[in-house]
Amino acid sequence: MLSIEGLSIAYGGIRAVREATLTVEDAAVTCLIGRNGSGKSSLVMAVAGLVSASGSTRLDGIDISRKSPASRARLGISLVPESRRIFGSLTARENLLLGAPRDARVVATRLASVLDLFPALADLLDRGGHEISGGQQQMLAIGRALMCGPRVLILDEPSLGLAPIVVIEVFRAIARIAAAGQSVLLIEQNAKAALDVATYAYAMSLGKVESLGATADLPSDFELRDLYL
Amino acid sequence: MSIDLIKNAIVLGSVYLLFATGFTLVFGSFKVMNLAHGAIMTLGAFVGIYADNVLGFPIGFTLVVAAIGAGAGNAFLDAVILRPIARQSASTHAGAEDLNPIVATLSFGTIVLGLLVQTVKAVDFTYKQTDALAKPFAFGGLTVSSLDLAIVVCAIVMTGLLSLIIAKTRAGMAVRAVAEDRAMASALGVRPNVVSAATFFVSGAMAGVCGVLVGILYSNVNVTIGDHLLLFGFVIVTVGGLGSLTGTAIAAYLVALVQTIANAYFQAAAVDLIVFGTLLLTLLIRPNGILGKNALSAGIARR
Amino acid sequence: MINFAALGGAGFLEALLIAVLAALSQYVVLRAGVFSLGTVGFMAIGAYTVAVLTVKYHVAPPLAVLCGILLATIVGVALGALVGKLRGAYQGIATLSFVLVVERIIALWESVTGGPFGITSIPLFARYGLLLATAAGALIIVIALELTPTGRKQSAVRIDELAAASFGTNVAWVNLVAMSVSAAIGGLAGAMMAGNQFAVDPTAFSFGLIIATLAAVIIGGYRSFLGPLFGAFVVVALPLLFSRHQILASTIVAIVTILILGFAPRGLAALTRLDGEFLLRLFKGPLRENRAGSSGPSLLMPVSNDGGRVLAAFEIARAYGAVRAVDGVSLTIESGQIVGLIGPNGAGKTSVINLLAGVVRLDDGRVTVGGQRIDTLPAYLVQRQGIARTFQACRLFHEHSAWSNVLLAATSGRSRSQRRERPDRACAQAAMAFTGCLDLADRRAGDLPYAFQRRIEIARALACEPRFLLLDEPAAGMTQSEATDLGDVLRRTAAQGVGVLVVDHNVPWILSLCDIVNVQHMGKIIACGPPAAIRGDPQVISAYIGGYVEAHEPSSECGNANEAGVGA
Repeated sequence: MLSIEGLSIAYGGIRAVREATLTVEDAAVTCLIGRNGSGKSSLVMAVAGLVSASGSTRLDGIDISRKSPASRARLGISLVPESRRIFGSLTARENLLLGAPRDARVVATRLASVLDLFPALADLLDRGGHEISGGQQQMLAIGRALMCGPRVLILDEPSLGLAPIVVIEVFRAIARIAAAGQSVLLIEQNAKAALDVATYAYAMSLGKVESLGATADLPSDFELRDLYL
Repeated sequence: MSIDLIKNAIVLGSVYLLFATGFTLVFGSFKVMNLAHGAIMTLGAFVGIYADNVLGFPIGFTLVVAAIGAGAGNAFLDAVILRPIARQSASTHAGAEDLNPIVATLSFGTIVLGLLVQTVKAVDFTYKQTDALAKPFAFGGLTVSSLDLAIVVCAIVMTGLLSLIIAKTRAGMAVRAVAEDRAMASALGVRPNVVSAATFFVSGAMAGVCGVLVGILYSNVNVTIGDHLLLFGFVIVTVGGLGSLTGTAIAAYLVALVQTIANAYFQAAAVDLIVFGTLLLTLLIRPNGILGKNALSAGIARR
Repeated sequence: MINFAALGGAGFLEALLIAVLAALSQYVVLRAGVFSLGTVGFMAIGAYTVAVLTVKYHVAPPLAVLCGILLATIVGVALGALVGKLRGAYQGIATLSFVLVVERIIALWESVTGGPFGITSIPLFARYGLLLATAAGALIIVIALELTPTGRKQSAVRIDELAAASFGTNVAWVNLVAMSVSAAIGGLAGAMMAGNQFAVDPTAFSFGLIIATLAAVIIGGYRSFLGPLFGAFVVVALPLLFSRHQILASTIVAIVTILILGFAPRGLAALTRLDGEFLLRLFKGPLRENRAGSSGPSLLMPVSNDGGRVLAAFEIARAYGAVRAVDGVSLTIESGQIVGLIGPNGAGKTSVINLLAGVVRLDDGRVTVGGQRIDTLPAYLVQRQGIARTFQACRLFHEHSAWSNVLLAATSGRSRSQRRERPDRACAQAAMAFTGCLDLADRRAGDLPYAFQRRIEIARALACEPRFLLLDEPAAGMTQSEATDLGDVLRRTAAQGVGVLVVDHNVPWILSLCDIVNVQHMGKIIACGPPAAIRGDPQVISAYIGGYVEAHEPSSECGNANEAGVGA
């Protein structure tokens, strides 16, 4: 279980995240929806240790808020960042192996399950990271994070800039990952799709996080448009 | 052109290659133009002198000790000087237009040389346990000493091995990943500080080996041997396209050939003039070197 | 062990003054963002010109000095033109090899330069007094340059080349000016060195001098004219203090340098507040007499928007690798109109602005102003067509004051006739008053609250007296009330006849503000029309809050409306 309490981030004069509190339950998808610029990405970058923040972040009870990004990754925080950040100077296979453990058998099993999840990647393994399309990069980024064997998989805007048909495919994969018992924190502006796969939901606006509770309990007339338009 | 001339060019080119490869490695991965590289090489040569003259190690051992000494010096530069300065610059929004790292490496080089002078004074040293390298071989009309052979083999094997490591191994993968996106690599569990210190170590180790071999080749080690090599190393990595190992290799032998031929006909200053003039022209005609992409401008330019 | 007495003699002061001249020459290029190491080459040219002319041809020293400066400047202009297209360390290496070439030519050209032995018996004309006078003179010239528009543009280019070009700075030109001035001062430094030392030889212009000169400016800092003075002092004084331990001296200078880099990365001069910005505020601050007066905000430019000028994009396209960021987008902005561009993240909105502003080349399509194509022009010339912009991430020159940011735009972003009609300062002042940030004029831009930084960025764009204003996410990070205030500013801007394009994520804000709204998704415009129509458009809703709707072609009505330039 990942629990974030009273997390705040300030860049220069802007307070991007104000006292955010949020819990990612085990074996469930928790989604965080909200308009662009509301601070969602800053929040998850802070959880991964890439942005400095105040407040506490605990993974299974252990305080990780002072640990380096690499230590957090090794403890099981795996981030699929917005815009994916695939390494162009590495092949797709190398991208996948970068965060994987050294044990060859573990690597083989994980690689097999990633390829099972995204069969399209199998033919691309020896291509350079920048030679593949946006949708394939997104799959590669998710696969790369899964290869680390995460406790919590954080997906930041996985549908960003993808063709609708690819978005469908990515969300199917997320549902399958979740069904396998992986706990996921999903950041999305495509709120409908996010709420479809998520068990718990939070909304973010102007740096503040608000819990919407279990998605199953959301009123059927819940007005998403208020959040956006 | 005599065959001896070509042999000399190949030996000299190999020395340049050993020196420039480490320089390119650090530049290509971390965008740091390490102006302490010459001093690090000199440090390696003197660590070698200590192992050779004082401890009486055989030459193979001396090379290893020199490599470790110089590598450690270079890793120290990264961990203790460059990292904190980079952090400090980042926290004050100094921007990437920043010249501070270059000046820091320059100063570190001065400190290393200063401490060396303090220790050994301005005295010339020679390696003594070099009998194994004096043996001549005859290939047809050409006589090659085993030292010449050792230099060429060392340069080609080490550079080749390095390219292989960078291209094929897990460690090389980590170096490329950290070079491209430090933050993302760390989010996948790679420790960027360890990777960069290790890269600096390897770069320094190659310079150390180069220092010992140069010392044996010229039968003389003193605190100034790095200066001239640094300038020529500069020319080579630029002409080769900063950050490109293949380009560096081509440029190393090319510059050595030009220099060797010019040496046969002109005085030293004229040779330098030809070499530096070639560099200036190369930059103006092909601003990214023979094979370089945009490694350099990407590193120094703002975005 | 420290030899303080060494700092007492005239020898130290003379060495210091020559070092100051050299450091000033290095400073002039570094503060402009030109990474030139040519200073020592210019010094060599200056020194040898004086030596040859005075010793061999018995030319009077003042004339010889002038010749030295002239020759160095000519060489500097040529070198600057040659290395102008290089950037960063390549510039450094090219100029370094220039110095090495000069040094070798001097060593080889024995008939004139005396080769490695150099030239002796140079008349000793440059004593303490003259050195002091020239160093002071050079410093004054450097400060004066810093206060001119060109000098201010130079530091703007160093901080952010793209932003500087966005209000009409010709980067190549200001860099060339920096190089020429650096060459002239370098030549002067060399000439003084020759006149001070009786003899010159090639070893004086070694790699060591290049390093010392560069280190001086880095130690002192290249953000204030005090930098080279402080730096030269450190570099000259420290070795002398330890002159009894000569070997230690260079090591100590190096250690001190590293410590300064670690603890004062902007150099010693940054510890004082005295720099060009400070003087500018002192001499050229805003007038302020109107602050409380009635003539307030409406003072903005009398808009020269000659009737129905239209900024139009036709089927513009741009791909990055496999991603088609902008895919056949057409839109028009008329004078006095506020046009919105919204769309989900990654839709390609910023790319559209970059294409319109000429920062990025088109793959296909064309951009016109009043029927004339502008997409083939470089960014700074696009700006001269009356197109001003702001950036997604605020790109103010954060080291400069708010006032100087805006003033610089008024100076360099306007045509001659505009500047004749309305003085720069009046224009900058009006722009700041118009956006409601005149009170913040004296503050350092980087220190201001974010919402005000954005306003100053808009003031900077308005100070160019644009006909069209392109705003990239101006309300990002603002609270609702700040965004509302900003909306008022934009409405008043449009009322002056300026055509405004606003990209933002705050959809309600855009819908309340704009006359026409375009919705972009996956690189294409999927909807276009007045806010009321957009609000109910099912495609827009699905693009924003999801569902899996296929991207549609924009309705044909919208495309036609664009071509014709429908008003609100």
